[in-house]
Formats: sequence, structure tokens, C-alpha cells
Amino acid sequence: MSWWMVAGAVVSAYGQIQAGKAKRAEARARAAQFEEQKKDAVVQTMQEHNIRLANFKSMQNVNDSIAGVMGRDSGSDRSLQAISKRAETEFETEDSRARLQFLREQSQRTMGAQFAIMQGKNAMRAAKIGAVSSLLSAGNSYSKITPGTGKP
Amino acid sequence: MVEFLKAKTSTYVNKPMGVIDTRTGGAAVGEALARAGNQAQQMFYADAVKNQKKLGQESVNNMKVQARDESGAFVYAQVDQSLSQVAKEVAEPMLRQRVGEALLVDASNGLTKIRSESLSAEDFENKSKEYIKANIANLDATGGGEYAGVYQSLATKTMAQHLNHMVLADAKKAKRIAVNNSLSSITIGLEEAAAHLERGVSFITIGELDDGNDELRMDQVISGLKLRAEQLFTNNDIEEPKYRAIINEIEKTTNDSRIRHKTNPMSENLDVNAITILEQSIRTGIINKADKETLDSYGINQDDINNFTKIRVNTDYHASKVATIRSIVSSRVTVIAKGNGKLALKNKLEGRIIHNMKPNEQILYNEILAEKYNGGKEINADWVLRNWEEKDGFLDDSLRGNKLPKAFEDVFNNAQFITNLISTEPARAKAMLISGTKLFANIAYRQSLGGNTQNNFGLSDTSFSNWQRLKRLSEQFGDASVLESAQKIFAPKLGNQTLSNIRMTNVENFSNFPDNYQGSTANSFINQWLRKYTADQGMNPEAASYLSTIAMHHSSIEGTDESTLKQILSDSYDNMYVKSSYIWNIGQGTGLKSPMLGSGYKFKSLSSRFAPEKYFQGNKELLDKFIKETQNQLSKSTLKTNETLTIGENVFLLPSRRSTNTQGEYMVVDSTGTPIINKQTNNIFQISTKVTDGLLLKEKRKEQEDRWDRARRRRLSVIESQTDAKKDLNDGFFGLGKIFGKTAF
Repeated sequence: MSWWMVAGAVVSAYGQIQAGKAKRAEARARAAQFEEQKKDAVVQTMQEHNIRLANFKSMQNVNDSIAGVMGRDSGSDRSLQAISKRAETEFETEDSRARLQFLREQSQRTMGAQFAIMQGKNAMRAAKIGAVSSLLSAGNSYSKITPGTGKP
Repeated sequence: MVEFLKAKTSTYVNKPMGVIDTRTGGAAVGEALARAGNQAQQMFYADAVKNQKKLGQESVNNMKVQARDESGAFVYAQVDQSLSQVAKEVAEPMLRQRVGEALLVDASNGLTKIRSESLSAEDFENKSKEYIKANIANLDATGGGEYAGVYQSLATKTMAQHLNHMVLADAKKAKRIAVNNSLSSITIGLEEAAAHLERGVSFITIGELDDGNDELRMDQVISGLKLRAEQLFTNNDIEEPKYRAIINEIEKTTNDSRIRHKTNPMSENLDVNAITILEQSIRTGIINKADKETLDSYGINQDDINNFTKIRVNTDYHASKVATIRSIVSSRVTVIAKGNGKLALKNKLEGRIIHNMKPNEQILYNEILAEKYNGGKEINADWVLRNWEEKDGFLDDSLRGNKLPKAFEDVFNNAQFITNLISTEPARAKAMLISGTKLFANIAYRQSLGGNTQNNFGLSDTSFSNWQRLKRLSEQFGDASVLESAQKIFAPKLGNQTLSNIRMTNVENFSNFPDNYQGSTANSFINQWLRKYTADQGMNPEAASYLSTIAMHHSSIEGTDESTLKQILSDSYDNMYVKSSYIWNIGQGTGLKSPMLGSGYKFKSLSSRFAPEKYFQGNKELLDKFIKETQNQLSKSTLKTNETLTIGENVFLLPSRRSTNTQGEYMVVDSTGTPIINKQTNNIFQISTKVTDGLLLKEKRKEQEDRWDRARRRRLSVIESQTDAKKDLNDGFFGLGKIFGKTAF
């Protein structure tokens, strides 16, 4: 009977270790996904910047064209300059805001990947502790029912 | 207004894919496995714990737990250290409880012993406290400190119980003593009152009373006794039946005393008649007219009778009390009459008259002898056997009747006394039997001389016959054999019956035992069987009577079968009878093989108990000498036919009646059995085996001298050897060689 008990404890410990390993694998997979997201976000951000830059350039070129048609000097015309200036300011504002948003999101993704790795490590550590605890508990129980092990 | 149209800029951008759930269920599998293992472990652990608890219980149950060892020191049972922790956790409280119980028993025993030895509750308390204190100290000192508290609690509780009981018992005892004292004082008072009443006392003086009198009437005394009994009853010190018994006893005793007072004069006068009349009057309650005068002379009237019977309705009781007195008086009268009878018998005996003595006179005779020879102490059979020779004149005085005094008769009639003594005290029995045999011889001799032989001196036929046989055997074989003879003569009937039963059981298995055998014993069958057997074997006809004793003896030994008995008889016959060439028998010289036609007996096998070959068995030289001597004497004579007489051929030896088992005496006869006449002496020829005695003596002498000679030679050899040894030792170192040389290794 006692040996069955020991076997049960070993199976329990083995199960905990296996559960820990599985959790660690899951965490690693999550971390890898966060890394992929970071790369995707760089591409997205760059594409959005290019779109904004293209829109700005396009507006300036249209305005230059219109000025030329209207005979106005886009370099000295104060209205035109004000419009151009205004467009440039808005472009800069939006792009800087987008960049900030990108940086914050990237930082969050990095943290998510780190958390996942840490969760995996901790799950494995917890599993090991649980397994050792199970074995120690079984040993203690075994010692209580084994003849000749009690204190005199 | 002029306006330039341009292609619209692409606004589509790639976006991150998001994080998908990575849980594959592996962790759940691991956790399930862990849970299953854990559950299995818990299950097996629970079973193991259950088993270990049981083991712990059993280990304690199987332990012999006692408080003390054989030397009286405390012992503390320990849990088996090889047990598991769980088992121990169960076993230890159980064991502590059992040790506690053992200590309780020990304390209880000790305290019970102290209680039995204590004089009072206080004494018990002091001793018990000391005892408990000493034992607690002992427990602490001997490693039983953990039990000290339990012991103190249990022992103190037990002590308290004992103490309560003792206090109650002491109180009860004190009350019982007081009650017993009261009852005792009533009894003493009653005895005193009864004694006074019996003497006819009416008043007793007890000192001045409250009323100025110093006397009490007897009825007041008796009322006082009853009052004291009533007080005991009122105080619940005695119960109703006891109270009634006391009152009855007082009335009965005082009434008895009054009756005795009235009958005392009658007793003194030995007037059995008057007592009988009184008894009758009490029984009927009326004095007959005819008896009135008798009772008047003793001052008893109808009032007295009425008084006697008023206390108790059962008049038979009072009559029986008078009857007891009558019986005592009557006995006294008988004793006096007996004394007179004894005196008369004594006078008769003084006058040396042989009279027809009666059994009661035999007892008186005994008493007369006791007064004269034993200081009045009774004489019995044992005393007679020890003293009849010592006391001068005792035997003369004892043989003056035609019957013996009782003690003498007991000696001879009481065979059981003798047989018992033989088995328990053989030495004393032997001395008594010798004394008894001599006494019997003396009695027989003297009574015969006096012509007083009728009725065997009053002894039974069996006793007389037995003692006569013992006397004769004693005369024949001497006093040394008296015990053996007495054992045979006085053997208990049970012994004979037992032997008879064994004999019957043995012979029932004999081949020709009849199915319809009628005899109560096997004796007649054995005799018939023996006659047939001896005839079949061609044995000497007379042998049957000699062999009968042997057959009876051996057939009464358990398990003796027919073939064994035949072998014993055959061997005995061969030892007793020897075939002889010299002994005459009727068939000698006739050529007949059988004494008569059809007879079972054969001449050829007629052996003799007195054959010279038997006496000289194993010594042919002596036999030859005897025959030669006989032949020498015969040479002095011839037959009528002038034939030379040759022993064993034409003359033979005829044993005479004087022949015994050790010596033969013969008459010389011819073949017809006619004695041969010695022509020189004109007398018959006689010869005895004694003629060889001289030769035998010489032979024995020679054997003796040879033995002496051998002894002398041996002695000389020893002396010579010792001398040589001394000499060899004195020869110095090299002499040792000689010693060793002579030593046989």
C-alpha cells in the first residue's frame, strides 16, 4: 500500500512538472506573437507616415500650381505662405503624435512579450516547487506509516 | 477657376495581427495528472493510516500490562518502538490508559490489604496516605513520573471509597456491638432469672429502688427483660422476628425453669413414676383423679398444670421437657441398676463360678477388669494384646466365664482391625499377631483344661477357625512367618473375590470351556481341565493334586491364557517329577504299556517325585555312588530263583512315606513290588540317599578348601607384588623401568 502511495506522489509531481512545461511553452508562444506585432507596427507606422507625407507634398504642389495659375508668388504671397505654413504645422503635429503613439504601443508590446516570458518561467518554477512539495509531503506521510521510523 | 485633378493617394496600411490564445491544453493535462497522482496518494495514505491505527490498537491489546514485576517494583509497559508514528499515536494513549488501569488495580489491592490490617478508619487513612505517597515517590524515582498524577488521582479516589465504607462499617459495628451487648445482658438476666426460678426464688434483692423497696418480684424481673427487648425493637435495632424470638425465649425458659423446680424433688427421689404422671398431666392438661395424690405429695395441683400450659399452647413441648427429665432420671436409675449388676457379676467372678455369660455381662466383665487392671480406664483389644502377659493375674481373671470379656472377644472377632494393621503398620501388626496367637493358645489350653470349650469361648466359628489355623501355622513355621500366614488367613473377602473374578475371566477363553457353565467360581472347571491335561500328557496321576495349587495361582493372574498355563504346569511337572530307571512302578517288568486297557495313563511316562536321579541331578558321580552302595548291599542276597539282584533290572526302589523333596528313602522290591528280604538280618532292604551324605560332605569340604587355597595364593601374590614394587623403587632411577615394565598398559 505504501509503495502505491509513493507512486501516486511521483505521478502527481510528474503531472505538475508537465503542466509547468506546458504553461512555459504557452508563454513563449505569446512572447513570440508580441515580437511579431512589434515588427508589424513598425511597418504600419512607416506606411501611415508616408501617406501623411505624400498628402502634404501633394497639397503643396497643388497650391504651388494654383498660385502659378493665379499669378501669385507662392514665396512671397503671405496668404499662400500662411496656408503652406499651416499645412506644414498640422502635418508635423500629426506625425509627431503618430510617432508618440507608435512608441507607446511598441513599448507596451515589448512589455507584453517580457511578461509572457516571465509568466512561463514562473509557471515552470511553480510547477517544480509544487512537484517537490508533493514529494516531500508524500515522504512525510510515508514516514508516518512506516514501521520503525517514529521517534522513540 | 482652373483646377488640376490628381490621382488619390493610397491610404491602406498594414496593421499588427494581434495576439492569439496560446493555451493548447498541455497544462490542463499535466494538472489532471498531478491531481490524479495526488488523489491516489491520499487514498493509499488513508488506507495505510487505517491499517497502522489498527496495528497500534492490536499491539496494545496484545501486551501484558501489569503494574509491578515479581519483585514488587513498578514496571512501565512501553509501546513497541518498531511501530510507525501513526500506530504509536494510537497505541500510546491506549497503553497509558491500560497502565493507569493496572495502577488502579495495584492501588486497590494495596489499599484493600491495608484496610484488612487497619483497626479503624483513621488508622486506614493514615496508612493509606503513607502508602500512596511512597508509591508516587517510587513512580517518580523509577521513571514512571508520567503516571504519578494518574496514580495519585485513582489511588486517592479508591482510598476515599474505602474510607467511606469503613466509616459506615465502624458506625454499624459500634451499633451492632451496642445491640449485642443489650441482647447479651438480656440473655444473662434470663439465665439468672431461670436459675432463681428453678430454685423456687420469688424475690431478689437489688438495692433500694425509687419506691423505697429493695426487692423485686421475679415477674417484675422477667417484665424488665421483656421491656428491654421491646426498646431494642422500638429503636429499630432488632427486627420483628428477632423480637418475637426473644420474648418467646424468655417465656419458654422461665416456664421450663418453673417446671424443673416442680420436678426437682421427683428427680432427687428418682421417682420416675411421678415424673411420668406429671408428663401425662401436662400433655392432657388435666390431672387424673388416680394420680392426684402422687402429684399432691410434690405440691403440684391443677393450677400449676394450667400455668405450665398457658404460656405456650403446644402442650407437647412442655411434656417433652418433662420427658427429657424423665429420661435423665431413668438413665440414672439404669446406671445405678447397672452398678448393682456389675457388683453382682464381680461377686460371681470372685467366687470363680463359670456361668452362662450374656453379651451385656461381657461388657460389664470388661469394666470390672478395667477397674482392677487399668485404673478404671476402658480396656480394648489393643490394650489386651499389649498387657495380657505383663499384668499378673490378668489372664486368670479374664478366663472365668464361659465367654471372653468384650475386649478379648474383639481381638479375635475383629479380623478387619488386623488386616488394616497389616497394611498400615506391618511391624506393629506382627507384634500384635504374635501376642494374639500366644493369647489364643493360652486361652485354648486353659479353657480346654477347665472343660470350658463349648461355643468356641463365644467366638464365631470363622474367627475361631482362623485363629486356630494361625496358631498351627505359627507353631509349624515359627513367629517369623506369622504376618504372611495372617495375610493369607485374614485376606479380605474382596481380595478373594477379585482373584476369583480374574480366574473366571481367564478360563472363559479356554478352548473347552463350556458355554453353559453353571459354577460361580472357576475352581471346578480348572480341576476338571487339569485332570484331563495331566492324563493327556501322561503325567503321574497324583501330579494333578500338586499341580492344582499352581494352576489356581497362575490362573488368577490377569492375562494368563491356556497355552501359558500349560507351559507353566509342564515346566513345574518336569521339575517335580523325574523319569527313573530305578523306581518301581506297577508296570515294571510286566511288559504292559498301560495299567489297564483304555486307561489314559501310561507306564512309560510314570515319573516319580522321589527318583534318585532327581536328588542327584547334575552329579552323576554321586548317583553312581548311591547305586553302587545299593548294589553292594543287594549282593548279600539273591532272588528266590537264585538270580543275582541287579538294581534297575530285576529289583527296584519303592519310595517310603518318609521321602521328602530333599531326601529319598526306599524299600528294595522285585518287579512284582514284593520287598526283598536281607537274608543276613532277615529284614527288608532299606536304603536312603543319605548314604551319599558323607561323600557330599567331603566334596563340599574339598570345594571349600579349594576356595581357601585360591584365596591364599591370591593374597601371597599380592604381598609378593608389593614387595617387588618396593624393591624396584629402591633400585634408583633405572629401577623405574622395571616398574613401567610391570605395568600393564
